[in-house]
Amino acid sequence: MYKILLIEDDPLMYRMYQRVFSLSGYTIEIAEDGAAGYEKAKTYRPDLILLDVMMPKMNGLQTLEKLKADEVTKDFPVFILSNLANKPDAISALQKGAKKYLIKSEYEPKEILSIIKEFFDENHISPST
Amino acid sequence: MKLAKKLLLLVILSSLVGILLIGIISFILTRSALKKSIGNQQLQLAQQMMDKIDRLLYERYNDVQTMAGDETIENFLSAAENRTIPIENTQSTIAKRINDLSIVTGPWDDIDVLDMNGVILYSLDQTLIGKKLDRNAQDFSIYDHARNGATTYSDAFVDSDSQKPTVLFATPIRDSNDPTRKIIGAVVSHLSWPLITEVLESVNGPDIDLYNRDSQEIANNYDSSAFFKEINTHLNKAQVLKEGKLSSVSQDEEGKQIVSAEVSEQGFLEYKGSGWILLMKQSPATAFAPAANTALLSAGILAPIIILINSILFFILLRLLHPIGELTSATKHIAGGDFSQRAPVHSQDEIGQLASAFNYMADKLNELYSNLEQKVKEKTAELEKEKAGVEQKVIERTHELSYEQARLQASINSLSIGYLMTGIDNQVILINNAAKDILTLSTKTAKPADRANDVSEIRDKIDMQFVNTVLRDKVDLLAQIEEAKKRRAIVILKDIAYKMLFLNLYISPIVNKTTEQVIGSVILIEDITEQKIIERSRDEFFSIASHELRTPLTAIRGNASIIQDFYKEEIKNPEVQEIVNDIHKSSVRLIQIVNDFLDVSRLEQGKLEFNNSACDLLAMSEDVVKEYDVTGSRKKLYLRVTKPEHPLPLAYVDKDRMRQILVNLVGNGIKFTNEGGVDISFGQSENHVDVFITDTGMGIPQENQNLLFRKFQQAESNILTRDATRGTGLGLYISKVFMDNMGGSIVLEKSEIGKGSTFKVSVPIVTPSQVAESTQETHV
Repeated sequence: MYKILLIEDDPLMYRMYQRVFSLSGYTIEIAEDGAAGYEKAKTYRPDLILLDVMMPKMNGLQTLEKLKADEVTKDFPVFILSNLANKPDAISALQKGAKKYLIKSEYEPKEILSIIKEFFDENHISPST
Repeated sequence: MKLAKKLLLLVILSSLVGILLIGIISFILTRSALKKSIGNQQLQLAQQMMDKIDRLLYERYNDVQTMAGDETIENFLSAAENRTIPIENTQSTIAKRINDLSIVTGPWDDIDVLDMNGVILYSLDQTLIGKKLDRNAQDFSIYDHARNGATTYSDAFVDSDSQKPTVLFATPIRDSNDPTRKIIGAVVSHLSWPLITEVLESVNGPDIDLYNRDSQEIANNYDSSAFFKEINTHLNKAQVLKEGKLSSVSQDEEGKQIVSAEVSEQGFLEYKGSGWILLMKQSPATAFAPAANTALLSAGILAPIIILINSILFFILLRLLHPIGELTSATKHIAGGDFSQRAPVHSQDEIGQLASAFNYMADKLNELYSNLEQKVKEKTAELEKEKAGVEQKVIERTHELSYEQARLQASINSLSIGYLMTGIDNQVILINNAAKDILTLSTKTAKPADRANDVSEIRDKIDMQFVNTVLRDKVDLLAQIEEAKKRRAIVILKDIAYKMLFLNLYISPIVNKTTEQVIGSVILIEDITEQKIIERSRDEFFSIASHELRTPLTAIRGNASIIQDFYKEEIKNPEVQEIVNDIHKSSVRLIQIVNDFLDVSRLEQGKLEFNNSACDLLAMSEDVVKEYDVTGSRKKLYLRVTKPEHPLPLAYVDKDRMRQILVNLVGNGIKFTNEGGVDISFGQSENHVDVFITDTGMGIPQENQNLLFRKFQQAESNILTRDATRGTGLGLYISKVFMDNMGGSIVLEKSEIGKGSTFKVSVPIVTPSQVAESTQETHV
C-alpha cells in the first residue's frame, strides 16, 4: 500500500482526502502544519507528500524548502495542493522541487487519485509497504 | 624740447662753429700770406745784407786800389827801391799816410806794403816790418798775384797770426813816373772781420749765417765762437748759386722747421765775390707768430659780432614763433570744450594765416557744437518720453507677469499630483506643494501655514536629495530628463520606490515652438502608494477570497463526489442520488463562478499574464473532448474532433488559457444542446489557425448575438429577467479578452434558432523563433 502524507491545516479538506485515500486503498497520514508535517515525513517516510500552501506559521512553500533541504526527506515526491491559482507560486513550487501543482477545486477527488496513480506508474514507484 | 631751447642751442652751436671756422681760416690764410711775405721779407732782408756785404767788400777792393795808388806809398816804395830816401823818413811818412788811409778806408786789421821781393816794407802791425813773406804764408799767393799785376782778393780765412777771420785784398803798386808803369810792389790788406759781422748783427730776430764757398760757416749774428768751424750740408748751394736767392720753409741741420732765405754773393763790377751764401733763418713759430696773433685777433673781433648777430636772430625767431605758442594754447582750450577761444592773428604770413584758419575752424566748431547740443537735448527729451513709456509698459508687464505667476503657482498648487518645472540647466523653476509634500515627506505633517511658498530654500535640497534618492532606485533622474529633452517626448518612469512611497514620474520636455529649442522640462510626480497598497491588498484579498471561497466549495464538491463514488450503497435511493448530484453540480458551478470572477477581476487589473508557446490545437481539442466525455455521454450527445485534411500548424497561444476557452466553448455547446452533439473542426488562414466549435443546440437569438461577448450581458437588460441557467455570462467575455491578449479572435460564426451555433476561434500561427522559445519552456 502506498503511503500518503497530507500536510493540510483545514479539517474540511483533510477529512475529505483522508476518506478518499482510505477508501482507495492508500495509507494516509495527516499533519496539520508545516513543521509537524516535516517531522512526520522523517518518521513516516511516505511515498508521496501532498502539501497545502496556505497554512499558518510555516506555509507550504517554506515547508517544501525544508523538506527538500533535508537529506532524509528530500527525495519524497511532493504534490502541491492549493486553492490559490497563482501562477508564480506554481512555478516557484515546481522550481523548489514539487512534482505537481494542483488546484483542489478543479479536480474531483477521483481525478486526483488517478493523477497520483499515473505518477506512481510513470515513475515506477512501488508501495513501500 | 621747446623751440626756444632748440634755437638757443642752435645759436650757440653756430656761433662756436663760426668762430672756430673763422679762426682757423684766418689762421691758415694769414699763415700762407705770412709765409709768402715773410719769405719775401726775409729774402729782401737777406739780399739787402748781402748787398751790403757785397758793397763792403767791393769798397774794400777799391780801397786797396786807392791805397796802392796813393802817391806817398808810391814814393815810399820807389824810395825803398832806389834807396834814395832814407827808410826811417819814409817809414814815418808812410805810417802816417797809411794811418790816415786806414781811417778813411778802414777799418783794416792790417795793411801790408810789400816790395817785389815779398819784403814787408811797411805794416800796421809794426812787428812785421822787414819780414819777408814766406812762400807758404797764407797771404803769399795773393801777394804774388798782386805783384804780378792782378788786383785780387781771397776767400775768407782765419789768419794764423791774429787768429782772426779776414779776407785779403791785394793790388799792385805801380810806379806812376814810369812810362811802363812798372810794378814796384803790392799792397795787401786784411779786412777787418767785424765789418762783416756788423752787417749781420744789424738785424735782430732771425739767425743769419754766412757761409763760404765750401759751405763753412764764416760768420753769424749770434755766436762768434762758431766761426769757421762747421760745415752746413743743408744749404741749397747749387740752386742758390744759380738763381742767386732762395726762400723756403725747410729743415735745418738739426731737423727743425725753419723759414729760410738764402742769398748768394753777387759782387759788383770787377769784384765778383767769393761765392758766399747768406742764410737767414727763423723758426716758423717766430715767423708765423703774427699769423696766430692775427687769427686770435680776428676771432676775437668777430666772435662778439657773430654772437650778437645770432642772438638777434634768435630773438627774432622767438618772436616769430610766439604766435605758434598762442595757437597751441588756444587749441588746448578748444579741446577742453571752450569754443570761445580764438588765436590772436599778428601778421599775414603763414603763421598768421594758420591762426586765421584756426579761428575760422573754432567758429565752425562752436556752431556745430551748439547745433549738436540742441539736437542732443531734443533727442534726450524724446528718449526720456519713450523711456517713460517703456518703463510704464515694463511696470504693466511686470504686474501682468506677477499675476500670471501667481495664477500659475495657484494652479499648480491646486494639483494633487506633484508638479516640478525645470529650466535649461535643470534648475528648479516651479514646484507645487504636492511635489514638495511627496519629496520631503515631512511637510505632510507641517501645518499649512508653515509650509513655505518660497521655493528657494528647498530648491537645492530637492535637486541633490531627489537625484541621490532616485539614483538609489536605479533611475538617474537627470539622465532621464536629458533623454526626454533629446527625444522631445515624454518619458514615463513607473513604480519608482522613493522612501516609503511608490511614484510614477512623467517627464515631459518643454519645447519653445518658435526657436525649436528645448528650454526645460515638466515633471509630474504621481504618488501611487495608495494605489499600490490597494492593489496589493486587493491582490491579497483576491488570493484570500478565492482560497476562502474555494476551500468550502472543494469540500462540497469533493465530498459529494466521494458519496457518489464510494458510498453508492448508502444512496441507493434515487432521490438521495439526485440530491447528492445537485449538491455536486452546484459546487462545480460555484467553483466556476469563483474562477470567472477571479479571472475577470484580474483581467481588469491587467494582472493576468499570458505565456504563449507553440501549441498543438488538435491534441488540445481531443484532450478537452475527453474531459467532457462523461458529461456529454450523460446527455447522450456526441463529442468529436474532426481531424483536419492537412496537418495543422502549431498555434502560438497561452496553453492554459486556450484550454480554458475551449473548455468554455465545448461546455457551453454541451449545455445548450439536448440533441446531437458538439463537433470541433479546424481551418487555416494565412496567419491563423481556426478552431470551429459547432453545436446542434438551440442557437442564439439575433438580439443576443451582439451582446454575446460582453460581461453578464443578455438581451433583456432588466436584471430581474436574467436567465441564470446561462451561467454567469462571463465565460465568453473572458474568452474574448484572452483572445485579444493572445493576438487572436473569437466570433460567433453562425447561429440558427433550433439548429445550433458555430463559434470560431482564430489564433496566430507560431513563428519559427517562437517554436525555439517554446521548446525551452518548462511544462506546467
